[in-house]
Amino acid sequence: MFLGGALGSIARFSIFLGVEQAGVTAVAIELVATSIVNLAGAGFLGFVHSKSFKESEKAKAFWGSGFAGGFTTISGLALITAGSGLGLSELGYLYWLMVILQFALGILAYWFINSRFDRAKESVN
Amino acid sequence: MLTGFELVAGVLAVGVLGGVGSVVRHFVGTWSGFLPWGILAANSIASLLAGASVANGFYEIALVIGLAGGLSTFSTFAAQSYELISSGHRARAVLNSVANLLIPAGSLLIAVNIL
Repeated sequence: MFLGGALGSIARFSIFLGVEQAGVTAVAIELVATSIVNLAGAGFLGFVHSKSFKESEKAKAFWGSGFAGGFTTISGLALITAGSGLGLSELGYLYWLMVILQFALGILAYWFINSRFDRAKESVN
Repeated sequence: MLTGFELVAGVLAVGVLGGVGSVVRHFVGTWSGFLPWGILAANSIASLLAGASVANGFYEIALVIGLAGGLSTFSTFAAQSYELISSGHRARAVLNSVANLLIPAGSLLIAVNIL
């Protein structure tokens, strides 16, 4: 669990650094990087929870609660909306809209990947 | 832009504190009832912590990206919301989404303005 979380957090940090290299503004970095990690992480957890993934509880804890949990973040989203003041600004509705969209897409990503890999396993069997 | 030393120190700090945050989340996350309260609590506490770090002028990579990032999670929130939808509790899934959207943001605002 600890190692999975550490690895996931470092991977998230690396993506933030990678987006920062692109030379965009601080808020755009947070928004783009947070969207990438959250949607990819939700989809990955869908795979970990699918029938195609290993049965081992240890592997599920490492890659699920550990890696995917450490990789994704909601405090980062809170920083974008509330911390930067964007959520309360004149254009705040745009940021709230993007965050709400990210919530909906995250649940869809989890469902999509999970159901795909469940079906893949069933067709093999 | 981080220097070489700051980058290595940052990666190590993010790894260690992110791991600690994930272990704490794992235990807090077992608290569940009408809603998955544990993950909501972890996300709210992480946002409070991130807000306090910013408010006190030490926007530390280790605290915000490491500890708060490791403690909070989006993927488990998505999984739990999907589970609520698939088990027929759509209203609870909506409530869980609204709570995970507003309470962490509110916690962060409280930290920024009061702490």
